[in-house]
Amino acid sequence: MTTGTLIWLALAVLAGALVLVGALARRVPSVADVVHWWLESWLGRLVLLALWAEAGFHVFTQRP
Amino acid sequence: MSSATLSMTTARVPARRVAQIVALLVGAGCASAVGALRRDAPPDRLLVLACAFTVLGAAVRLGHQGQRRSSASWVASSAHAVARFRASRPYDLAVAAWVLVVLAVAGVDLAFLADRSPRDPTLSRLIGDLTAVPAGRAVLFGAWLAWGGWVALGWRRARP
Repeated sequence: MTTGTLIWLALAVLAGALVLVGALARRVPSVADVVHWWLESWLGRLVLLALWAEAGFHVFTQRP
Repeated sequence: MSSATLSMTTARVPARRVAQIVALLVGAGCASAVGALRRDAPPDRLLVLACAFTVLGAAVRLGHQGQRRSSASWVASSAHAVARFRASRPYDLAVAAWVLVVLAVAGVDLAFLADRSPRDPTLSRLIGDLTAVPAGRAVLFGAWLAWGGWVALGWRRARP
């Protein structure tokens, strides 16, 4: 495993730990709280969907 | 199975459940097809676009149904929501930690992009390696489609 891959792995573990803390600690907003807040309104939902569509088009149809 | 038995069976299963199962099967089929196709092939682009527009169409079809707030009140109340969360110190720490992670990801990605060493992959190359394999491509596409479907249709509650 290269140094670069290890750095990415460490960042992924850190992000995963933050997601876990958010899910377990009641006083810290979780990722789900943030997403649910965006989905409360039609405008927030449309913004999330636009980002989703752009990400999918970029990842699945463009050359890397 | 006789038609009478079939109609009794379908009568017992709610239409909503049937629609969910059909959507799941269609989504799995699309993910398998995308996994089998080449990334830059025209049918692949068409399929990805068709899936994206189907999900967006479903969101538009449902429209404002089940949204807890109007867009105007959501924008207006966002400051109150942030202030409510900010009332606690753990909130500030969590935000600071997330900002650090995002900055670190952007910084590492830019550094690796400038370095151009094969030993230090960029985020784009990691995703590219994953989507170059049919199974990885199919799984990632399935996850993307499921996430989009949930964002389009999920978390719709009546306004309090």
